[in-house]
Amino acid sequence: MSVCKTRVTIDPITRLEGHGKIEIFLNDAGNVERAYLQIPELRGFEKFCEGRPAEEMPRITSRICGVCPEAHHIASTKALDAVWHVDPPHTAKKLRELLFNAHMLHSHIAHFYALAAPDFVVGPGADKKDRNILGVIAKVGLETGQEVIKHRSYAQKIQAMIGGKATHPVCGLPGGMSKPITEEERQQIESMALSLVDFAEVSLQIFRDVVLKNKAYVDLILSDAYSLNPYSMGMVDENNHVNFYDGIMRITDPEGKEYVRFNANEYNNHFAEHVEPWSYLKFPYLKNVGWKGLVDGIESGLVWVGPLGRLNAADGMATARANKAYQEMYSTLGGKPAKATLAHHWARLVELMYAAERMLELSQDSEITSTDIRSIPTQTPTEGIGIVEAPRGTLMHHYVTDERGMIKKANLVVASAHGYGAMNMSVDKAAKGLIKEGKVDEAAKNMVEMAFRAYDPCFGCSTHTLTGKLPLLIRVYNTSGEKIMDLEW
Amino acid sequence: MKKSIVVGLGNPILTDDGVGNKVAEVLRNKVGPEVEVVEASLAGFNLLDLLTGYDTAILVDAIQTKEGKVGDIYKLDKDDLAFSQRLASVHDINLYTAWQLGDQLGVKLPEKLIIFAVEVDDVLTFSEKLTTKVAEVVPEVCELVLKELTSG
Repeated sequence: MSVCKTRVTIDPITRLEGHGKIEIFLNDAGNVERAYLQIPELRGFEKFCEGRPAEEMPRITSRICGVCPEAHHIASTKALDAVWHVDPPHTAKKLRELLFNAHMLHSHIAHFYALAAPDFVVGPGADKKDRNILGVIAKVGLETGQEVIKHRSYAQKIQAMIGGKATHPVCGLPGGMSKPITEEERQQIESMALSLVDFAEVSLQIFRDVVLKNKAYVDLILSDAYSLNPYSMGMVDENNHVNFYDGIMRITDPEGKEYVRFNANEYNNHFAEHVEPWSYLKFPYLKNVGWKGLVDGIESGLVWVGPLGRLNAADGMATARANKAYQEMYSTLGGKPAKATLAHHWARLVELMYAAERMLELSQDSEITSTDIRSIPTQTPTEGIGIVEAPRGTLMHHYVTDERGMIKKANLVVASAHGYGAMNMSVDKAAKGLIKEGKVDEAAKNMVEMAFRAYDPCFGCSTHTLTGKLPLLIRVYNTSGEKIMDLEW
Repeated sequence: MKKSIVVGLGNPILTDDGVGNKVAEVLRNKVGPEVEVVEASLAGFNLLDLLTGYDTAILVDAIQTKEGKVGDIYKLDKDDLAFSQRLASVHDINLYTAWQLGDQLGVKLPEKLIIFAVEVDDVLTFSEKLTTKVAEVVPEVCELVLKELTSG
């Protein structure tokens, strides 16, 4: 048998090339001329979908990504409502929103404790062996670690209860949901939600104690190397408060004024995609502002999405504690819009609180255990767009079907694509601010990555990178275009 | 009775990334009730949840290495993953870190963890079919897993 048991041949670069790459071009003085973030695009998705029954799309699209399958599932299900011109009953919408908020909680908890906190709790210049969740727990204590695991698994359990399966939900149907929840399940969700609200409060307090009380970190967050001034986009309710599942899309300009609001079905009137020769992934931009290159400001149609984009684009949060945290964040950062890329981490915790509170509200809603969860579609399927606010930002699914409901055309614009332009600018700015005279050491490299990590970007589909490397490569070039350094994670 | 779990890791619609899923599909009918066979597209935290409570865990996954030949099968245990005590996915922790975390927090983890990794060709194209060389080694991987399960 051809089994090779050796550590030596397992060169730990799994999927590195298949994932992200930051390319940094230095000038003669050794300073950064330009830095680019490249994300590969997966191939053949549209072809894969063509000719399949549209009802399969929520299950197929949730397979695209191992990080946010629930977000794809719900965006896809909403697109199917639109394709079949059907409005689901209240309870179906509330169950979907409950599932979605559980997903948001689970994702934001993982990001804050496993990916954001190491830079702040352990320190951006710490040895990378310690700069991980184990290092975080060594500092904040085992008890907090147990709370993290417990609450993450609560969010996962709630997703499984509503979605039918823990990771790849099977509940969404055009016009509703496949199964209701029982009173017993409701009670379990309510009790877990109560605990999650407390946990969100603890998480915000950790942020205050560890980050805000450390002047060096606050200075870092507010420094020019980590600031940006793009448009901001997010979904809002009728009071312009953040909503992840349903509402109207709102975009504010770099000065914080409302630029436009639109319904999901108008998405294509507002966004176009720009192609750059060096990137497979396209750059979505505001079509009526225009493409001005990878620059920020009011003349450039690039947007911030994700936690900070959403909070900038809204007037507040719809629940009490989250709204208080929202006000605190903006008063500390000097008002709206926030321009600090690293404030994405803080915004994520404000959203963690909102998701927990909203989940509690929904679990106590008198309609939530109703069995009226499906409006049977009666019209001929045509075309539809579904939008949700995935943890990383606005996620759009657009399907066109024939009269039998078979997919003729499918287009998805994912959150990390919406934020790709801004992410590129942040990486470029951080590289320019932090790499001087050709000195690219471990700390500088990590600090460039921090700009990128703030976005919690998702590159694609396969998250189970066996050998455990961050799928990111930093490559440094001299003025002749020769590669002078590779910095693997 | 000792409880075992076999996890076919992968994305079943990304060509060779689905090799773990394929192995799980074949094995499901070849094992007794004491062995749980599941397919999953999970990393770190979620994988930890899935493996908790079992005595033996066998994972089957796709891998791409610098000098690897498509169809090669690697057998690894958790110590082989020690070099990767860092971030794995951009949004999760890797298996080794998850394992250490579980240990620290007193989670009941399997005593035995074996990983079979298959060197693959294409993980970027949407397709439900494995490439030929990867498909050819599926029976061999299944045999290796079964042998491992009976070896105690």
